[in-house]
Amino acid sequence: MTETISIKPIAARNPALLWVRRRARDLAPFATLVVLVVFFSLSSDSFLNIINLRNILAQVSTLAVVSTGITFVLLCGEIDLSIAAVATMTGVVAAVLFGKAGLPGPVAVLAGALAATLLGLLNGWSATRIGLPSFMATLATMQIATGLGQYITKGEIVYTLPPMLQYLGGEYIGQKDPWRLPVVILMGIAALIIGHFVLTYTKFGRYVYMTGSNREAARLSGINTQNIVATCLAISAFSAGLAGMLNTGRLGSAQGYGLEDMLLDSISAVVLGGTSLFGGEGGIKNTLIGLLIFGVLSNGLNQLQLDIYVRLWVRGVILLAALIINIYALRLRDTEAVE
Amino acid sequence: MAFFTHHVSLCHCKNPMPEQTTPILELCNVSKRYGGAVALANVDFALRAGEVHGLVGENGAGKSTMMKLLAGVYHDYVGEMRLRDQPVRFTSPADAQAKGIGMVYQELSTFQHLTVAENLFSRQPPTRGGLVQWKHMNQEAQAHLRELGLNIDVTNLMGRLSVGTQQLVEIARVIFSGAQIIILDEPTSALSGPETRRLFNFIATLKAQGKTIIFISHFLEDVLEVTDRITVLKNAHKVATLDTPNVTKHQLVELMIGSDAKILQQMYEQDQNLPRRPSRLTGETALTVDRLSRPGAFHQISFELHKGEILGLFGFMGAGQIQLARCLFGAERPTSGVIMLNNQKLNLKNTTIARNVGIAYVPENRRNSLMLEQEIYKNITLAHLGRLLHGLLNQRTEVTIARTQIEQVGVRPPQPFLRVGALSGGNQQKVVLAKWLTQQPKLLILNEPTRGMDVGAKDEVLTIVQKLRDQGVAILLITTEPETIVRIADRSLVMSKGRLTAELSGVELTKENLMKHA
Repeated sequence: MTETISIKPIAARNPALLWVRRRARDLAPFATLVVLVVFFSLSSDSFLNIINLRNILAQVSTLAVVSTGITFVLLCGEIDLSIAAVATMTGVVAAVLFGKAGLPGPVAVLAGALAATLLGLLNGWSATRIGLPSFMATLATMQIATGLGQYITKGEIVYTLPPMLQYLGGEYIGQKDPWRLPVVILMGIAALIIGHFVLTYTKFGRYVYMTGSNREAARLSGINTQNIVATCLAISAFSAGLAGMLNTGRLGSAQGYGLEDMLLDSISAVVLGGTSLFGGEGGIKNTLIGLLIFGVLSNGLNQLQLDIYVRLWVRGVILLAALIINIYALRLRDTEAVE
Repeated sequence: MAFFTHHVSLCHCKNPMPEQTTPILELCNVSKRYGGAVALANVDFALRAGEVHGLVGENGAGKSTMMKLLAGVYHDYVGEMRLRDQPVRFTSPADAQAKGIGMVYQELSTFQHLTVAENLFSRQPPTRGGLVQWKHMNQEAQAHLRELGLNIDVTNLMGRLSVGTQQLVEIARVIFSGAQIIILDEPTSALSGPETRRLFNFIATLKAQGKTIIFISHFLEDVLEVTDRITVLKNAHKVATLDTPNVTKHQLVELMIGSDAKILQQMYEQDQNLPRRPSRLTGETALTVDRLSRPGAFHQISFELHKGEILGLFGFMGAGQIQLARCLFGAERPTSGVIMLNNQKLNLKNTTIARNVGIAYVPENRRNSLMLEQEIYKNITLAHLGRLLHGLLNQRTEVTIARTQIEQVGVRPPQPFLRVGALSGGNQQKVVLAKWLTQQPKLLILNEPTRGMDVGAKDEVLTIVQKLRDQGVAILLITTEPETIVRIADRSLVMSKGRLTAELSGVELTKENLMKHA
């Protein structure tokens, strides 16, 4: 009796408002994105240009690949600090195996992906079987990967890349300028679609959400949460490796440093999109919005031709504001639960 | 004085007061609603200084609303509250506390990693120049506890103490911060027999020191034993306030649930057992546990459980029964011993293996069994997702399965897309059961399946359990409530301090015997 009473009045009050509240986690980031797009369109002539919009997408494409992976990790309530280092190392491994060791391109790429996945499994093993907090386990892996990348290159820049990576990372589909499409954008989109599919339509995806939502309850429902967490860390490292290799293709070279921003950029993009840092809520849809916010903001501030010394902190302030809006939106949703 | 105040006061309520006693706290015609739902309706309530006042009623009767109102959590009520004959309206729990009303919640809010002294002083430790005066703090804390007749070393870490002792410290803390009126919410639900006794002695000490106590509980025997007067709530209304010596348990139950609900009374009436079925030892053996041990938790546990049998496992909190249950589901690992299901030896390395061989497990607390933020249907399909859906997830199939289960166990409201967190406790528990019924289990392990439920919900859950037994499921029913075992178990084991102490069946299976061996 009391149950029906406590729920009905809210639903009856205003269905539209209820819908908005329920989806606050998704709607707040979307609103932020719309506001940013409108603002930059009005304040800069070059922003809405097709080439510029395409550039925004290209700029966040490798980030999209790595963010897809880290979304899995955040959804199950863990963190992976090793992604940028793994990305760097993987790019270097593939380039060196192809350029220096003379292996065929596809083999070098597969070997790179394998190396990344192995590091991810190492993360998974230390975080689940050993019981290290993933923060510490992946911090150690970050150093290992960074160190290996620099050990392999000895500070050199490798310019011989597998042709496959040059194509996927740096080539275009189509000929003439406004209408040719960087292949890397397709890679980013593909990663997001696959990630979304796995998280939404497979049992594994459901287990990821449930593990992040309440790990003990998931375990006591017969889910092997250790395997879920370990798999997510492996997925994250694999996509980081992929992103790292695509990035070498985009830049035309591989080196043992230079991707450090990728770690915080991808985590902020995922969180900006509304995925919880504590697991269980969010998803690839949110990551997509977060990536676009991130891309629009970086690109838009460039278009405004702000002083480079002003740009960075202004970006930080806007990111903070967006996160604060997310939190307020969630409070709005949670009041619904309390009533 | 009493005469005088009665005329001057603006209070229009009709709390009958003997001339010699002034109410220390009064509610006059108080109502509180949540949206459209009435939680308290025109309630009058008078608390005499120095009494222990019981507050009883079914879940949803308004007990917790009234408690939160008195503790300053709610201030948007209609009507008047009077404290020492002055109208008051607390603005916050801190405000209520400052005016001498202390609240001890069922879920203790203690700091496990700090010492007893630090807990006592948690709100404001004594400082000099911004530095904590440790020695002074410990001495004062020790003196305070001694004054209340408690002999607890204040340098102990809170987490090292038993729940019962932590509760005493928590009460002492509330008194220490100035409370004259102490509200105890379900104080005995987590306590063993001796601990309950100790709490009652402590309450007697407090009463002798002039403190006033409100005692809220489902355990009517405890209420009858410790209180001076009892107020009964039912459906948001106050039904009566009675002098405890003049009331029987039977009468209380009648007042709480109404005389037409005779069947439901069995939950509260331990004397009136249902005629039990003959012992079901004839069924095939489902579960065999042989000399199972886990140091620090339980030792050399051996028993058999048959198909179509409900085997009770009674013990007070901390007797090792939870760890035993967790070992039977692969959530913990025993160090020695054998577990067999249908004569197959099991190696339960993890919960997935246990689930796959047909073991279902309902944890002792709902926080460990549900994803409150997720929809009901996702919670229901979770345990057997792999068998329910082939290939990809399909929301329509999932929801159809969930709806069947929701109907079967009677979740209300029956809305698969609602978040589980929005359901009441009883209905959440039904969801936990539903989760394990999407595939017929061979062995169902139930930990405290009816804890904290109102009479009606308990009845529904136990009916489902009985139905499963009739379908041939082997059921291990672990609980600290002897009434539940006496009511539906075919046989019962008793566990005490990690060992099996008795096996009871037939006429021997009574509440007295269960308690005696625990």
